[in-house]
Amino acid sequence: MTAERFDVVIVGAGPAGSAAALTLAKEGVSVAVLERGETPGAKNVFGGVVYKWPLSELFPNFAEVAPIERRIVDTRLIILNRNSSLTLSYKEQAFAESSEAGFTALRTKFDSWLAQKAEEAGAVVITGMPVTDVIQENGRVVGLKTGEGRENEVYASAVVAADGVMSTVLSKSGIRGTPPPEQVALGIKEMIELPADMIEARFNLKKGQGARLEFIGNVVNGKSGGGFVYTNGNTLSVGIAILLSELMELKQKPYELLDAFKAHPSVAPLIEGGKPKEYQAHLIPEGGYPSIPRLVDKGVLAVGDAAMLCLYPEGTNMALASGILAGRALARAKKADDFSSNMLEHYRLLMEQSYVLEEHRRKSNFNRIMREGGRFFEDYPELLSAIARELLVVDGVTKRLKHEKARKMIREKVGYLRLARDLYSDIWQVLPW
Amino acid sequence: MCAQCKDRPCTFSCPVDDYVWDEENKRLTVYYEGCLECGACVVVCPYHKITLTYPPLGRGVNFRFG
Repeated sequence: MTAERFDVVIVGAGPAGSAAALTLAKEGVSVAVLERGETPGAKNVFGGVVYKWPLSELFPNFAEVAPIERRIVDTRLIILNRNSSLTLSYKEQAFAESSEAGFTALRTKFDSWLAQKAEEAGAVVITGMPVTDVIQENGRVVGLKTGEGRENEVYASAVVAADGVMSTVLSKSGIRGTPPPEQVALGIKEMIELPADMIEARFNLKKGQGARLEFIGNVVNGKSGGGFVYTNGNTLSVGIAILLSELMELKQKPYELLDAFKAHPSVAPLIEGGKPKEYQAHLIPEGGYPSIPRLVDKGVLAVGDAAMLCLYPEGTNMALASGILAGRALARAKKADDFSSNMLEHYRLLMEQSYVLEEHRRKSNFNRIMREGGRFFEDYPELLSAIARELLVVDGVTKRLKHEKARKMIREKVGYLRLARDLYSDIWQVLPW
Repeated sequence: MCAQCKDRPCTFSCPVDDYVWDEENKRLTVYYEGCLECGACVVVCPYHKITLTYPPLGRGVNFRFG
């Protein structure tokens, strides 16, 4: 590759990078995407679920053209305690046609498909190409290096950092270094093979329909984290995430936590007889709003996880949205033939007005609350279990007395004041919806 | 430096056990062939001494299932 020049070079062909590339290519901007994986998606990991928005903005007929595993009709919130669980479930058959509640996908298929769409629109996507450094001139990033020598240099009027939570572009540019362990979770996951009809029988689904199980409460040994089980075509995505700073406190191996999750009586029957096909791990941004770096700096626009935009349980859609907005801001700059900082700032403006940052602002305390203590990951799950048990066991004790006992448990475990405060504000920061 | 490290978090944070500490010889061995390129080690090292350099040509881990 000789020293090439494009209007925009995007590092990373994940959802954020490809969404930006597609948006730019459609506007006739010359754009290249550098992806370190063999194919887009080969080095990406998510749960995961892709939602209707903003994919529907790129593809109004996404329900027909996107590589969908299963259309989610059943969403379950499961509060885990040591040996029991409390489940809330919403199921609507109509979601099967519209895919309005989202769909499960596989990163290898989804990312490859999206990158291909960008290529069809005119973007140049180069795989097997990790970026090793940035090229700076007068405090601005003017290009990227993929190795030594001029033939491994590529120049651009603007660079998009879409290279994930450990972004090389942002760290080499001095915009954001390695995140601290309090701001990331380690997610580990297994793809477990199970025949499609068995998945449908076990999860009570019709053909092509999917279930999405989000586990909260005491999932990772009382620490801050969660778990998931998602149904794909003929595999289950089963995984857990734990805040890295808390894994360091636990001093336990991450796969021991995954094994404990898989062995939980509310999880084990779902995966029984399944064949583990792949083991994956990745870091997940968990810092929220305070951890988002400067979105525009030194000629670099940060999108997706590179900008720490993942906000449980939404990551892919945040990445897509930021990619689209970066694309729009850069297309506008190209039209004006002006890639100055002022013009690039338009991306940040679009983001400030967008769903992405609105959601982040609303949940700006979640990281702090998660780290404050085990009440969401130990006390409340225990309390809920104890109360449920008390009320459900018919032993001749009157309900009046049982209700009194329940109130006493609340007083002793967390206290009314703490409970009231949590119900008023804190709990909405840690719940997925 | 690894000999002085109190907890050696790399040895228990790695999802594939790539970091192994030999107490007798005071040596840390890194089995990079199994690396999933997740970055946990980079984040947890208290001395910030671990760097992750992605392999060229798309080598290294390639997830095939999702």
